[in-house]
Order: sequence, then structure tokens, then C-alpha cells
Amino acid sequence: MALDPKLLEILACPNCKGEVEYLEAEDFIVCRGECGYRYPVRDDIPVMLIDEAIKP
Amino acid sequence: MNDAHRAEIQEEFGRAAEPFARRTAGRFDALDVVAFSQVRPGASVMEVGAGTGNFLSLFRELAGSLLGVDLTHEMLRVAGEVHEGLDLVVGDGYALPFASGSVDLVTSAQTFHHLHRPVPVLMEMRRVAAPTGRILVVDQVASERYEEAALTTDLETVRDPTHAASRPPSAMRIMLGAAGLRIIDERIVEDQQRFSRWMWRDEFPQERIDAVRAFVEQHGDRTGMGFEREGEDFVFVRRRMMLLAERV
Repeated sequence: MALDPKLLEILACPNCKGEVEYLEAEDFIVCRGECGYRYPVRDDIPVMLIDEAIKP
Repeated sequence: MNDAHRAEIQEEFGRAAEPFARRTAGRFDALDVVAFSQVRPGASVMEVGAGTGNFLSLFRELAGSLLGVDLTHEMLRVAGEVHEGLDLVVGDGYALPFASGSVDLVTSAQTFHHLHRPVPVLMEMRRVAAPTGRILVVDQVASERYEEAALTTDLETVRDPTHAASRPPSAMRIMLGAAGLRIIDERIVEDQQRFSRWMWRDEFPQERIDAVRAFVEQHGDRTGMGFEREGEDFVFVRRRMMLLAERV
């Protein structure tokens, strides 16, 4: 199951509040703003916690 | 939220997500919260601290979308199994992962008593709310008498180590004002609860149940919660407050 497009429209990076993009093949949400943090998606639930982000 | 308190919440609510969902099903039914919220048909509704989704799902008939945010992945996983059609995101109320002004009704129910610093979370809820949007906060409230509220906090902390503060209605109003919110409407709803349900055996370890019972026996009459013995059980009064607010 993919993520709801309406959710992706309003989802933002919790760290820099930048726009994010869903990388479906990798199942990651990646920040396209200042910080570039990557957030994992587990069981179709994005885990948007700064502590659990992969930092570039 | 500091890391230790966040980890504690994730552990406490990850421990018993399924019995929690069963025990708390229906606990908001008497509040008539959807009418109180004045939510418009088709509105987007978000809940911060959504847990297993029982509160958020009350808006199903009217809302255009339902979005549950919680610190604990396990709670949201159960929410997704129990309720259809929820969007779910693991997130922290102190740093909500959403664009500013993006949600019509931003709610939170039974969450603020877990927060040591509630105002920054309310400011995040305000940020995420649309300019014409609303903020709805529902939480249990304590007595206005300081000694009773302090003992209620002690009792609740024995029951749940993630409990932060039992606040009186006056504190709830001050918190919202401090976050730049204007209260449009408020209501307090009381209902009677049973100790045996509150400290449900499927959800809580026995030593926790014993500790809470000992506290109630020793201090229950000074909490302002109206504890009364009923055979082997106790009954008491749970007061919940609903506040509807808009951005100043």
C-alpha cells in the first residue's frame, strides 16, 4: 500500500520544515529542504522523528 | 520532549497497545465532541497523540481526511488495524512533521497530561492549523485546589510513569492563551469510573495495580476525585475538559 497523496502534500521535515519527497522504491521520506534528513517508512507509517532520521 | 521521557512513553504505550485499545474504546462517546468541534463537512482533522485512533475516528462521518500522529509506532499499527482509512505518521508534538497552515481541525485528546512542557506543543498545533482552522484539546482535569491536584498527579504517576501533570481547568486555559490561542468554547464532562476498569488486569502488571490501590486507600479521599469504596472495588469521578480555540 502506497502512502496517501493527500498526506504527502502536507508532510514536511520536522527538523527544518522543508518539503519532503517519498522515495517509493526505497521506502524513505527524504527532506528536500535545508537538512536533507531521510526518514524511514515502517508498515506504511512514516517515522518522522528527528532522532531516527538518517543524517546526510 | 527530552529523550528519556520520549523513550519512556514509547515503552509504556508499546507495551500494551492492544489491551489499551480495547479498554479505551468508547471512552469519548459521551462527550459529543464532533458537534462541540463545529467541524465542517469535508474538513481535514488531525490528532496529536492519536494512540490507537479511537478519538480521531469519531470524526469519520464528517471529515474529509483523518490523520493520526503519535510517538509510538506500535499504537499506530494497532490504530491501522482497528480503524480503516486513517493516515498515520509517527511524529513528535514538539516538532510536527507538517507544513504550516495545512489542517482544518488540529485536535489532541488525553495527551497533554503526558507533557511536561505543553505550551510548545500547542504552538506547533497552532502553526499547523489553517488560518481559519481550529484547535480542539480534550484532557482529564484535576481539582482547582492545589493539594488535591498535586496528589492526583502523584496517583496518576504511580499508575503510569509517563504521566507529567494533572492540571486544573484554569491551567488549561492559561496554556492555550500562552500559545497564542483564543478559546471559543469550553465544557467539562464528568463520568463515574471503576477502579477495576481503570487498572485493567489485561493492561497493567499486578504490582502496578497493587501500588495504585495502596495509594487510593491511603490518599484517595484527598485527591478531589471522589473515591468511594464499592465492595472490593472503588468508584471515582473522572472529569474531562474540552476546549475549542482559534488562532489569535
